[in-house]
Amino acid sequence: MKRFFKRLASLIPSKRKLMQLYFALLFNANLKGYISGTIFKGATKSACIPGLNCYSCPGAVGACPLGSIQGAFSADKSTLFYVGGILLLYCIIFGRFICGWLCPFGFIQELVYKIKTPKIKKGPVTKVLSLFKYVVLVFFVVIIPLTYAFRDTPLPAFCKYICPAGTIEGGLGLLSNELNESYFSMLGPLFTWKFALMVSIIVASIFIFRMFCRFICPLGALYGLFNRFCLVGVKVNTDRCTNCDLCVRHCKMDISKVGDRECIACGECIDVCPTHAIVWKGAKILKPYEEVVSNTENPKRTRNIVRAAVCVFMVAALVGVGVYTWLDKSNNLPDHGNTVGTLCYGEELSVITKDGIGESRINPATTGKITVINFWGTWCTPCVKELPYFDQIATDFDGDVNVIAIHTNMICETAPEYIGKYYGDSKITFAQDTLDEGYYAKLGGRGTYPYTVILDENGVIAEIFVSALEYEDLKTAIEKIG
Amino acid sequence: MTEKGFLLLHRIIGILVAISIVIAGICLALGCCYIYFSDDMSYSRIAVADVFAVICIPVYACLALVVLGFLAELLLPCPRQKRNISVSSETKVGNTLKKCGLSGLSDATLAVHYREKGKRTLNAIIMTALTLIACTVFFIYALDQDNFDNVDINGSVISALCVLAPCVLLPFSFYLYSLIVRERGFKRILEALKNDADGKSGGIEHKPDFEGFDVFVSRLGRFFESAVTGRPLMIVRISIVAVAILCVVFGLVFGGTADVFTKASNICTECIGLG
Repeated sequence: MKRFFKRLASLIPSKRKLMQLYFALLFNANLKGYISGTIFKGATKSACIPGLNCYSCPGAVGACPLGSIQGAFSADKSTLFYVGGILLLYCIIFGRFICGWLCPFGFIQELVYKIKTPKIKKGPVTKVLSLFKYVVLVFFVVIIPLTYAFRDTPLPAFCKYICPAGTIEGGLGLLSNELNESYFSMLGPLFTWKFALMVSIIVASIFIFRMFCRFICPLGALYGLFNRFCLVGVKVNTDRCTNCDLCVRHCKMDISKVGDRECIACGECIDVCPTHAIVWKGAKILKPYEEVVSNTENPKRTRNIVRAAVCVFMVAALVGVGVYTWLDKSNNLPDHGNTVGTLCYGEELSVITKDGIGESRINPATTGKITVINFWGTWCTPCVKELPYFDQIATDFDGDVNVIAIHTNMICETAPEYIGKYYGDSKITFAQDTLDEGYYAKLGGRGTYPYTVILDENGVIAEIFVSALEYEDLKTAIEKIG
Repeated sequence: MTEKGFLLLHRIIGILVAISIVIAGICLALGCCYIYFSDDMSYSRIAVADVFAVICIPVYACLALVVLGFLAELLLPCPRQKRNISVSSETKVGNTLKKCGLSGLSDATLAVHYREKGKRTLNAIIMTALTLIACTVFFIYALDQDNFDNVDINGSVISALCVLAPCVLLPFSFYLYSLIVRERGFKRILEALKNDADGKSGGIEHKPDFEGFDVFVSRLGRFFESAVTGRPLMIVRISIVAVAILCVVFGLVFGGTADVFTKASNICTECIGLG
């Protein structure tokens, strides 16, 4: 029996693994999203979480810092300050401790690495490759999004072309729900590329420890720059260190010394060090060294009480977030006027002109003509790219077809400027939609953009498109109704 | 350049840097107070850009002086003077090492340490070059008022970067410069040790210890890192945390969360690779 319990105890994951699991659950606590196949739209989405966790995952309760910073280049200055400030805080407080303890994608890679196969060890080649993530950071997270932001076309290049977390959590997370069957119609070369990349990274992670974190992850690259200054992590007590390099040889990351830019502060080297020279930063403040080495009863009891309190708090936080997301009403789906063949749900919307949001209003469901309703946003790359086709349709079918482009940005501050700049003389009617319980959701929008609904003369929904369209697609759909 | 002139130049730069740091700090504080207590709390990009355009100038002036100090150190030939150092006494060497925060290290460790410091110096030079290039570009934009009058996103992005970049880079530049200064002293000790081992003690070339700008920077450097372990002290962390909190508060006050929320609560299919 004793042997059984001993074996059972050996199966309990390490403290770090439990923490990784906990934060993976906490950052993806929206259980309702997995059932409904939609993403969470509650207030917590305006806060960036520290790890790499796609905000398009049905379970995600916070925003991805990388996606947010790329989006911030195309948004207001205040957004860049806000996201930059949060990132800087994470950098200076945690550094790459986040990679080792909090990042859900790092956790996935570590789990995959547990598959028993021959492993590729670190070496000079991997050390050079570890610099590649800085190239990704500079080009895919800063230069390309910034360049496109100057052209008024937001392009989160890292999310679009590389991010495997986006594919596995956002893409596959949404596609795996049968309610999102329509999404399969929009899969194309981009998905093939991203899927192949994601599979390659996952397969490579079986043989190479944290392959993505070491060679590609720009978030890790950014956090790594602050590793030396951050408040949380590991440090070497130089008085005790004998330079035996046991820590460096034991570490699976490409570190040159403990606590450098590659160190993810997993803490495994602490147990390896023969002279106990490696300690947690701030350990002296939280727990004087004498207490660590002493084996008296009181510090142990205090430590157990603190541990129990932390555990209770963490479980309470997880349950709290789960309940909050479950009760949040923003996930409720509409149940009428939003499917093909039914009378379209009607609502009066404010019209946007180049001068701003005017007082005139329009009801897209009661125009008496064939109506193309396109939901778009200046922040959405495919929406911006397909808008000229709608403009062309509005010109070619002038008088017979109404094209209404509904901007779905909650604050709509960027829309009037954009419309004035590019569609000042367009025949498209631009309108505004609010995000909370907006017209988009009532018309069956499930969080994906662009979203196009075509109505016949009687206001009955004839076609629904959940992906970007070409001119020919629109023309065919309209001629089919006409 | 004579030794006296060299030291005078460094002293002037040091004083100017100190003054500009104080002015930059006051301007940043005043600018933030102005934004916060302004009667017109509605979102006005032009107004905010104007305020930050003013703040940018002293911050950049400060940064430019730091970079100038770097360049002066790297490019100008430093006058050397002969001075005898007795390295025969172990105590003296020990004391000198202790002053540099290297007490208790063996020769082998010192060599490793030296290599590491060499890398840091290289990093410092690269960092300086990058800082110089980045700041020149941003400075050109910052001086062009059109970038701030323009209400489109270009102006917003540039002006945000104009403020953020120097705020973040400034403490780093100082910190790295202090490393260079410390490195120079360390190299001399190694030379002394080597000469001592070869039986050629005394008579090595010696450069005057921290003078003028060096004194100023080495003092600042001591704020930034612990003398014993060479690790950064709380002041670097606190200053970065302060900048970060300032940015977050600014973003929150002017509605920075709205765009993050919009982006995070809608799915851009292209962004997640669906099509």
